[in-house]
Amino acid sequence: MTLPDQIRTALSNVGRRKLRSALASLGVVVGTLTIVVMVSLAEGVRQQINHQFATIGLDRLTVYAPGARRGGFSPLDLLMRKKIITPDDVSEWKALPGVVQVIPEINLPPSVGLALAWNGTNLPVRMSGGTPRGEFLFQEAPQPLAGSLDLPESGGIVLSLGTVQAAGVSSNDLTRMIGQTVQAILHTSRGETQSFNLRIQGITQEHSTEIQVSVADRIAMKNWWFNTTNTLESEGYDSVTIRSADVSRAQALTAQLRSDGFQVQSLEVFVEIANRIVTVIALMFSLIGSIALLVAAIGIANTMVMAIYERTREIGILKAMGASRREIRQMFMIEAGFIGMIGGTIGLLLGWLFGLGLNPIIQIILKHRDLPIHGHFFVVTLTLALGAILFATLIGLVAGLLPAQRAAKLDPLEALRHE
Amino acid sequence: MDALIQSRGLTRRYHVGKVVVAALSDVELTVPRGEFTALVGPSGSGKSTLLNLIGGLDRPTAGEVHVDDLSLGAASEQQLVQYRRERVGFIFQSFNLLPTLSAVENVESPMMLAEVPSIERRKRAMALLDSVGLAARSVHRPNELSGGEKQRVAIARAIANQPLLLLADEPTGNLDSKTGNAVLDLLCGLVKAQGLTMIMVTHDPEVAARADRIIHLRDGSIQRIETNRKTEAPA
Repeated sequence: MTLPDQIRTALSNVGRRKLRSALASLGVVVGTLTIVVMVSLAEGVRQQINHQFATIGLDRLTVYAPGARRGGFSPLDLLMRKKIITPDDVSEWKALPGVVQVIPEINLPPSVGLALAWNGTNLPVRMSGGTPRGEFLFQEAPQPLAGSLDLPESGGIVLSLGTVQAAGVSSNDLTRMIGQTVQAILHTSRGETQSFNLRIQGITQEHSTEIQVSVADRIAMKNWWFNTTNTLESEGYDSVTIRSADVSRAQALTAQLRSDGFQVQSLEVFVEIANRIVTVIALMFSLIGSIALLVAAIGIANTMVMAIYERTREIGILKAMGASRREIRQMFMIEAGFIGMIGGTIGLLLGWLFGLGLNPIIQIILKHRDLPIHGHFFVVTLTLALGAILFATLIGLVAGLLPAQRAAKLDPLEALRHE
Repeated sequence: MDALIQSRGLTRRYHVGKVVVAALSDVELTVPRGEFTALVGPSGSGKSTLLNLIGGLDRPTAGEVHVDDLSLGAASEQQLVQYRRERVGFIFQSFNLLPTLSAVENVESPMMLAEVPSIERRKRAMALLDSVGLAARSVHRPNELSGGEKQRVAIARAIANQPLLLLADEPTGNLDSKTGNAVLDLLCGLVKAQGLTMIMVTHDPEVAARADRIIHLRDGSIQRIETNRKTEAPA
């Protein structure tokens, strides 16, 4: 008997008892549905995480001098620091292939007091780095209300809407502010002060009283603070953010810079951990689906035992006509496999529809919680689709194994006598 | 005389609980090619057992039966499967058609097992149904056919793979005498026309009377053999 003939025969036998086949495959439907929903949810969440990290710069890495701690600034650090990030390093990195942007950073000690003397007010403010983007996860990049948010290295300041309003400037006058000069006043705890004139480059929509100051100005501030002429020569940059053309280039750069002796931080690690957590959760829920599939396998086995009992005489007839044990076994195995496959296909379709239906509801909930995340949370990949059907078919085949073996072993004479 | 079937010391014993029942003991038998042999005898005389042994559905406890140079007792499972598929056609008292298949599909089924291409087997099955006078009923399922029609389909199925040997176990047993006679006429005609060897188990002396040779069995042994109505001594 050829394989196409066996498949055709098995299909017609499954179709012969539609209700029973449907009931037998119901368990497979439930199991596959569970697994498909869980795995597609995990895939969707994983894609969301990757997407969110990419928008805040998965392609971005931050380089520190060896021994430096982020934000740390103790004398001990100074002693231990052997290698610094020099302006030469920065210009060298700028020339590397695949590097889109190199942003050197200078941090002022946290004890530095900073105020803004402007428009007749003396406003205490906080200073953040030169790159406003990506400070917090799942936060969209701030938009300029006026001017540009890209600070030139040579000098300039970006204000937030909150700062401008606190200084008593009407929000209608924002555009007029660009190009004007403000005074940033640094003061020590002993009361020494120094003011720096800064040109306004742009205004962000943020409501906090944060300002961003160009690297050149921060170097000047740091020189005053430590009373040196060139802190850059002795200390180097505190950190440098490098944006690369893509994620894979970022990984290559990370490896290269690490071998050069620098500390490199990238978001890659966080993404990996997040992915691992999601995978573990999906796996746990899939296990529940697998239990459903196990129960389904018992159901299929039971159906096959019943079918073989009912068709004992037919098996006898087939054997008298010259059907081999192998052919009888294969016939029933294929039948059981079909029940699994049909259940798997229906489960896959239902799981996919379930995700489609649930996605808009999740979007609405997210909107209510002010989380600006858009996209699909249930992603059925081709691998998942094929894998689910294949797995369900396999469950059917395994369930059919013993009953089919029993059918194959039937004595033809006894089978023919069976009523 | 060219013998198709030869048995020597053919014995079949069954275990019924702890009792051993000899269904067939020491049967020496020769069936010539192209002959119609009837097996007659009372119930339990071993007719069906002998038929099943010759058909390769059962194996002897002792002794041997050769069909066309194949020793059925010593043959492997695969050899027996091939033997049943290619050289033997069975006809049963209760027809034993596959209930879910149409008449033509039933006739096709042995050819499907023999891996005859589907177009050819449909053509052959239709020709066979035509030869048993059922071309018009080809799409009907067994439960839509009369007893006589079912048996005709079964006959067409039995000869589908052009076997050497036709084994019939009371083929007219479930039919009224008129239908039975028609079926018998058809069978005998086909056997003659195709030069088949046929062994038929029957209770009916009238049916047996049409055979070339009648083997009388009793208590698992051959009692006597009639050839062309002349009684021979037991072999």
